[in-house]
Amino acid sequence: MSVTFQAIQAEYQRLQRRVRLHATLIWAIRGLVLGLTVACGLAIVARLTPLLAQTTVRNLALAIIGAGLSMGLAYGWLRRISPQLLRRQLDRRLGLAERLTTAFELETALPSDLVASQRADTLDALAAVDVQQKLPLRIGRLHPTVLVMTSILLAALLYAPSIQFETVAQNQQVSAEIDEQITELTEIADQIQDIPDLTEEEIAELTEPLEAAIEQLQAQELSPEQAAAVIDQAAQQLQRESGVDSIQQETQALENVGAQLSETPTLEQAADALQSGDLETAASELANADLDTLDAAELDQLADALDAASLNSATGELAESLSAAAEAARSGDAQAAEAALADAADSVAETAESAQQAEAVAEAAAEAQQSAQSAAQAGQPSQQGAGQQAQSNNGQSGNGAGNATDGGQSGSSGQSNAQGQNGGGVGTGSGSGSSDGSDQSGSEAGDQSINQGTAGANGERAYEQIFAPQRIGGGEGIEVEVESDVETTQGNDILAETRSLPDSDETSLVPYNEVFGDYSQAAGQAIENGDVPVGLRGVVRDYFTLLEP
Amino acid sequence: MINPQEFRTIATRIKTELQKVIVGQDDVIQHVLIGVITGGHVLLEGVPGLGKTMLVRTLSDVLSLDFSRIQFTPDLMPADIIGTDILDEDDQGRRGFRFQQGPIFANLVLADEINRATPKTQSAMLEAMQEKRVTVANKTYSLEQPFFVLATQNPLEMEGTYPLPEAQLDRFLFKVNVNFPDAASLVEILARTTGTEQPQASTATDGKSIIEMGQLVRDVPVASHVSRYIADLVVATHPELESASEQVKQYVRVGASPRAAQALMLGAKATALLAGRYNVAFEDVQAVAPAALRHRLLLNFEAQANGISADDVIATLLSSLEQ
Repeated sequence: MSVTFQAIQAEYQRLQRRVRLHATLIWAIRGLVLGLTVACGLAIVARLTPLLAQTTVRNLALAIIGAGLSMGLAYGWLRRISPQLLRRQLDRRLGLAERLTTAFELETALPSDLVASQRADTLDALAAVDVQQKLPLRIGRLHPTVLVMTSILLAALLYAPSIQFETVAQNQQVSAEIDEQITELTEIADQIQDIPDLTEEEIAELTEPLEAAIEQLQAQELSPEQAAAVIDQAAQQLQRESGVDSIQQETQALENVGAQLSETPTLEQAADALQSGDLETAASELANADLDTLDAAELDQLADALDAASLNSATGELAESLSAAAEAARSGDAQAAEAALADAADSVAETAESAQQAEAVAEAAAEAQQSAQSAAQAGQPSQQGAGQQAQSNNGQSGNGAGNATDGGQSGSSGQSNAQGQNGGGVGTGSGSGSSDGSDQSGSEAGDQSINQGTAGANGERAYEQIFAPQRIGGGEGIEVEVESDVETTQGNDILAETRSLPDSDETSLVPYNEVFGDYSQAAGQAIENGDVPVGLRGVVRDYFTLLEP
Repeated sequence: MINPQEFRTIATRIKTELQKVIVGQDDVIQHVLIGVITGGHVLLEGVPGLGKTMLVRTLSDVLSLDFSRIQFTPDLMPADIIGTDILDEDDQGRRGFRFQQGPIFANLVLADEINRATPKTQSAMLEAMQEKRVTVANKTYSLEQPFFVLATQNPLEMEGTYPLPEAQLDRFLFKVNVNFPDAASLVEILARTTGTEQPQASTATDGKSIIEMGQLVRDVPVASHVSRYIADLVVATHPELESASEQVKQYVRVGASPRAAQALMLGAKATALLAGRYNVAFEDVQAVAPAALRHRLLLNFEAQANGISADDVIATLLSSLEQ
């Protein structure tokens, strides 16, 4: 190999690198265009079917574009073409008149004047080539044009609003919410297991509805309403299993017992504890009662009080113990009376223990109820800021349903169902409940206001508030004082089926069966008018079904 | 042995001397020069008065070669060209046959109006042109090297002419069309030929140098794909092949022979050297392709009826054939 040929080879390699660089540039753009095209396809599919969320599509599109660019760069740089073909291309593009190809074919030729002249001529021709002019790192108009067009198309596909994107986001939110509810139900089941003094059978009985609900939530793709119904059903069953109602009755009965015993100084402390619900203290006081110091009159007074208390007792054992204590006291047998009171103390202590367990289970049931509520609200447009999802009712203004009272009672139900849903305008809801200065707020009817989302991207719309029931089947809420249409006599004798509240002689509760129909009908009307969001309609119906007398 | 630089010097000198006398026929001069260097014969076709004979005569002066001119006529006999045995008597009175050389025994032979001779006479040139020897009375006589035949023919006059047979045509390296000069060249011709002093060409080289130049031409390297291009070009002229173009199939009756490929290759090599290059390029092949192929393509009647010439077919092939 002559020195001249080595020089030709060096020049050739310089040109080869330039060609490869140019090819890399071209193929990078082609890869970019390919990536953009595939990303456009993906975006189109995502806009036609609810498969992927908008963010996911964007990330995937970026990844695809990156992959296309990388592939283009790699292919352009690593692509190898035949050296003969490359030399022929260089001959043609650089106007070398086949000097280069001939020189390489003469690589092994015998030295001669002609061969030497050919090599020298080739080297001169190569040196005279203006590489930047002959092999410019430029690209034609077609590639940038296609690049820009596909970029614009992809941007439009990715960033323009799409109902499919919103649907996917809603589904994801629902799924996440259900997962969260499953976690909460699991925690509730664990709480039940931690309740002291529960037997394995009781624990199994109490956790069975929760586990069944968890299985259903895990096994099926449920809508928010269905998930809420499943959880709600489990909560109701748990509530029933807790026996909290009977315990409450017993507790109430013990309060009455305490009221009767409060008239005897000997058992005054026990009576106070019973009335305040401190059953453990009450049991302790009863068990430690000292009757030896009482005279006969005091024992008779105690016996009367115990007899009265036995009548108010809810459990048979307590009533028998109190009755036995009364009989012993009346007969002057203080020791026997103390023994009977000790038995009564045991009954109270048992009730206290049962009350604690029931309270814990009821608390768990209440938490499950809260989960049902959260599940029902999952995926609501209000929580996505999806302004387009607002029902278009042509700016129908909401009607405040405030029931003003003229009897000095608070305007309790200032619950303005301000369903000012609108399509183009801004719906204005106005609650018009009037109040006479009572400190009771107008939203005490167990309603929870839910912020109906933020404004959409294209317009600042004012979203209405939705008032949803908060304590369906749960613990008791704040009692509401409403106007009573019960007729009373001058002597304040209550004619209707009412009961006096413990701490308020002046207030009364409305007969339930008289007002239920009105409220149920109003709720049904609201559902029919579309004032209640779809996700909450089932909850409202369940609410009134549960309350049905 | 001559080197490439000397080749260019001599060739340039020859062209310069020829151009002193011949005006406006650079392409013809180029092809004739290539023919002389490569040892090929050239058929010049053109109307009378375009300087064909002048070109050949000047060439003989420039090359300092033996020159003979044969005016072909219908009554010209082969013996008039190659010579014959004549009865001769020596000093002792003994008689015997002695070969009398004809005008073919020269370095440069001008066969003027070759198509006016009968085919029999034309065929007398075959052996001389191909083998560079003649056979008379079972005796073979070699022709002195270099040996070139430059023939002319008139394309217009058909009466009393005998078109050259294909075998005869194939012996010519090139068929060069001598076209009418443009006005500027004509003015120059008038200036040079109507004055008191006639332009004279001087000797530029000799026969030995011409032979060496021919040997150098044959050493010019050709890239393999260029050789393939030449082969493809010749193959493409054959209408019987499936790969032939529609035009070739429609208008060409007989394609070019392998001699056409040889002519293309030698002509391209000489062209490359004349252009100052030391390898053959596609452009060299394309430069000589019309002259090398036009007399080897036999067109059919349809082509003549449609006014399609061999040059049209060749031009189409050159533009369509992939390099």
